[in-house]
Amino acid sequence: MEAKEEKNKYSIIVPTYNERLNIALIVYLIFKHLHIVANSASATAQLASITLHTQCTPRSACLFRKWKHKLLCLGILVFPTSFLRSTFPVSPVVFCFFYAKRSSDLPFRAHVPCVLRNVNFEIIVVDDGSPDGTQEIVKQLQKVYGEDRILLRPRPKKLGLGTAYMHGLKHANGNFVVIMDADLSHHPKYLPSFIKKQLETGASIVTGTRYVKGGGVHGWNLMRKLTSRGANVLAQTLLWPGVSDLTGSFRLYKKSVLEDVISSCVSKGYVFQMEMIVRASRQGYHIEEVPITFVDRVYGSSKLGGSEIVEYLKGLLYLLVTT
Amino acid sequence: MKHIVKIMALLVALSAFWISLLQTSVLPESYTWLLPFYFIVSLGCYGLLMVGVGLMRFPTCPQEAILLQEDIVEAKGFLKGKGVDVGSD
Repeated sequence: MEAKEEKNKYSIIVPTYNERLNIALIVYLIFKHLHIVANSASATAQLASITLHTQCTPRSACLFRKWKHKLLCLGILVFPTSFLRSTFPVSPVVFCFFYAKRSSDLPFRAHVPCVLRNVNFEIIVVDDGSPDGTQEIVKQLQKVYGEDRILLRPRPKKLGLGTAYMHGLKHANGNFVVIMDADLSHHPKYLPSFIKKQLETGASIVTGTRYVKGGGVHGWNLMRKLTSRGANVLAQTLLWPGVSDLTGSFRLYKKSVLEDVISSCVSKGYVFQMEMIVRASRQGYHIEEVPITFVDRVYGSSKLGGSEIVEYLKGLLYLLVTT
Repeated sequence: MKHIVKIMALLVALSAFWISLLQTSVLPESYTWLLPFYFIVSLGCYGLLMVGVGLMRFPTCPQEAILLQEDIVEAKGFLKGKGVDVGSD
């Protein structure tokens, strides 16, 4: 299934800090999966090398979506549907009438390669003064791929994720913005499925979710999975956000939507990601989800200590009261 | 409408229902007095059950790590050929 997309430019913002090797790998993979030039001899070779992994589900007829949002605003049956939809394996019959199944929940269809030709994109690397020479590597990549495709917009020192996004947004020329991590936990092979989903549904935000069928996580031990699951259930009960993965940071935004949402967010770290998606959901933006896989930390291990849990709970309470 | 207002409204509705049960004595009083505790405990149990079920059905993707390593090897090979320094950090 191929689709020509017209005149949309995608700015991919990648905040980096000490990602000397990973940024080069990420840039290569982005070009591999997005830069397929139509009618060229190398296109067939490129297509053959891309593994058929992502599924493009057909447009889900969200019959009750408009009414669901209206009902949500009135607070009618929000708790059961949100809580149950995200946590119950099969939603009870009594709520089926109001249950609008997300397309990412649909049973697995035949593998259809998500291939898009002539995607116009640029990569904006926001480096926070890495001491390991990340910026030199980016300059070498610019020589290979072109300075119009890779923009290096460094900052003097580590100033935080939210400000990194705002900084990248100022230099973004596209009408869509993709944010992703630079540590190879987010694989660029899902970028075509994000774009495809947005084109099919016209959503304002497409977020990657690790917790549905078709997605997944690798590299987490039992404790990590337990805290993640517990945090997810707690957040779904308290906040009724309408998305299954709140802390994920692999997202596609319309540029205007991102500018609007980011200006009203004040948190830091991954609570910032939660705040963005919850605020966007409250303001009624159309949010769609795509399953992604998350391979945690090719090198080293991510720690989740007590202070992070306290941070998370404080963030939840803040969001509960202020959104 | 703010979210906390929605939750408060829901709690007020539930309390009104509980108080009406107390007043009209549809159920014996001793049961009605304990209803809020039953509700909170059952909510907690349901939450724990969902955490357990979610943990059992947690989607994993071990093959993705292998694919990623293959991608890394391919990328390093290509970039080395183009003159980008891909020494490990």
